[in-house]
Amino acid sequence: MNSWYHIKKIFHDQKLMVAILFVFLMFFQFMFSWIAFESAMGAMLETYIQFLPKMIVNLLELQTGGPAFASQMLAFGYSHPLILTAVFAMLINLAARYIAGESENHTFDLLLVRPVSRTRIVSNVFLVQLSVTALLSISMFAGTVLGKIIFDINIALSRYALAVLTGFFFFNGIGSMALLISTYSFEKGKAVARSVGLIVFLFFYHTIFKMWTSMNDLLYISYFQIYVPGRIVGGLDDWRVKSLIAALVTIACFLAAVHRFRYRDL
Amino acid sequence: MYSIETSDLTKYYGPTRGIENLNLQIKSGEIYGFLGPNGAGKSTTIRLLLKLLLPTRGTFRIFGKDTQKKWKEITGNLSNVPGEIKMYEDISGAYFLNFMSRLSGKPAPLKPELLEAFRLSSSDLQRKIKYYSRGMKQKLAIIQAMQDNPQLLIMDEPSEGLDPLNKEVLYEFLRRFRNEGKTIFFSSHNLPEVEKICDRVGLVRDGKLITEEPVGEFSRKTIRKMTIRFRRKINCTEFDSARWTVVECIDRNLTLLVSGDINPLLKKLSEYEIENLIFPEPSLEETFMKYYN
Repeated sequence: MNSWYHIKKIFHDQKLMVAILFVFLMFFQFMFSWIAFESAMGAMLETYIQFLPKMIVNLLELQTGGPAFASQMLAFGYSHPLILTAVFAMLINLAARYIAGESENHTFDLLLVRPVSRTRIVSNVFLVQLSVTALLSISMFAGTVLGKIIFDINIALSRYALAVLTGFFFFNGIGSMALLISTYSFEKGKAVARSVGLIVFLFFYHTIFKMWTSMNDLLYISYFQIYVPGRIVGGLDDWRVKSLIAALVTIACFLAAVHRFRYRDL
Repeated sequence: MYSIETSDLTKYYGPTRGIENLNLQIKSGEIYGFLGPNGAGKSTTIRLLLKLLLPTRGTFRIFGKDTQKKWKEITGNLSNVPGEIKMYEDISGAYFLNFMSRLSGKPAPLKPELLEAFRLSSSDLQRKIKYYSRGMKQKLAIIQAMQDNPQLLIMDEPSEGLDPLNKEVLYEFLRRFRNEGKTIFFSSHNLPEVEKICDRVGLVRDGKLITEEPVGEFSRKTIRKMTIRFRRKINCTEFDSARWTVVECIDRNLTLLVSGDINPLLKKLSEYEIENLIFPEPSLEETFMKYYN
């Protein structure tokens, strides 16, 4: 039970950042509902996208010229690069600071001499990542709900909830990858750099094979293909399968991180 | 039962030696000084005992318990003052002490007394640790280790950064802990400090334990250098003796190496008029030379 105070301390350190992100994500999604359904910007964007090369349109997963455009646009907000960057940065920071950073600063010399096991330390950081991801997912969905209420938008909220839920699993997969990388690093900076490197690699892999239509088959092994909110909202992807794959990646990386951390020098 | 018992404890960092075949047996109620120069293997030993490093080979027991199986039980009665203090910089001293105490799951009965003795005021404690001086951080590290009255204290050069007054406070608490039957494992490269407070001393160099002795015996063997400047020219042959070694004797200046009882030498010196006498604390290197020889 005493290790609860470790979790509490991490939240104490991060409370401002989490609060800022919570408000930002909610506001961002709210603005997306305004742009997609209320403002003239939605129509303007649709016209603009029609002029883009096919490969870029493929990448954005936005089908223009139909009534579904606004719904897809709204879902696109969930995987907007700004949103992905903000959430990834938070999750990477948590893993790097509380695993590699504590190792670098030798603060584990104090922590691990208390009745807190190494497994518990990794689990605590993982639990904080899960909680933060849950909070941020809720804030994104709350932004959409707020938009629906204020602008009286006709959308099936349950489909958006499923997209957010899939996003929750997807983000946790990234978080646990960062956790695993941190257990292999002795410096916070290196842990951040390696995690960012991995994400950039996964993102470029996804982008290249998505734009290169004849190589689209390789997208089945792209981690970013798990979370395409437009396809989940449109019913084109099975959210259960996607969530299950992300959950399996999360569990595998978490277990590997625990194992690595238990048997390494600090 | 021994508080700490190691058996052939060895740590290699790849091909580099950390500590080799360390066999220690430290009783309850003992202050054990672990003495050695920088890089000798003191910190490696401490990090092994705290399970921060995994041994290359060998085992150790704490409170007679298997550290592999009963570590959680052991940590309930164990505290540590790490070397090269680095702390959570973004929290206040008060938050840090509460955090450490809550993690141990025990009350902190000695906290008020320690805060008073080390003169850390409540306004000091409200400040973030990143604004603390080196000495204040050291005091905070000592307080967090002692506040919950542990049975075993492992300290890596705990007096580093403390002023003489606070050093005395630390020594006083260590003696009190010893008198209450607690065990203190104390690493240092400061010979006089070890002589002052320890019951037994282990000398480590190049990753190996050279000797272990009661501190009285150790002090007796310690070699000290004395430099005397007389008012008048002396006859060097008058200072030939088996009890000390004349290193240099030129005109009015005499340099000697002394070990053990210094009273015969002082008696001899009282026959002369002395202008100046320098008798510094013994250096660790000189002591090591004695053991090597």
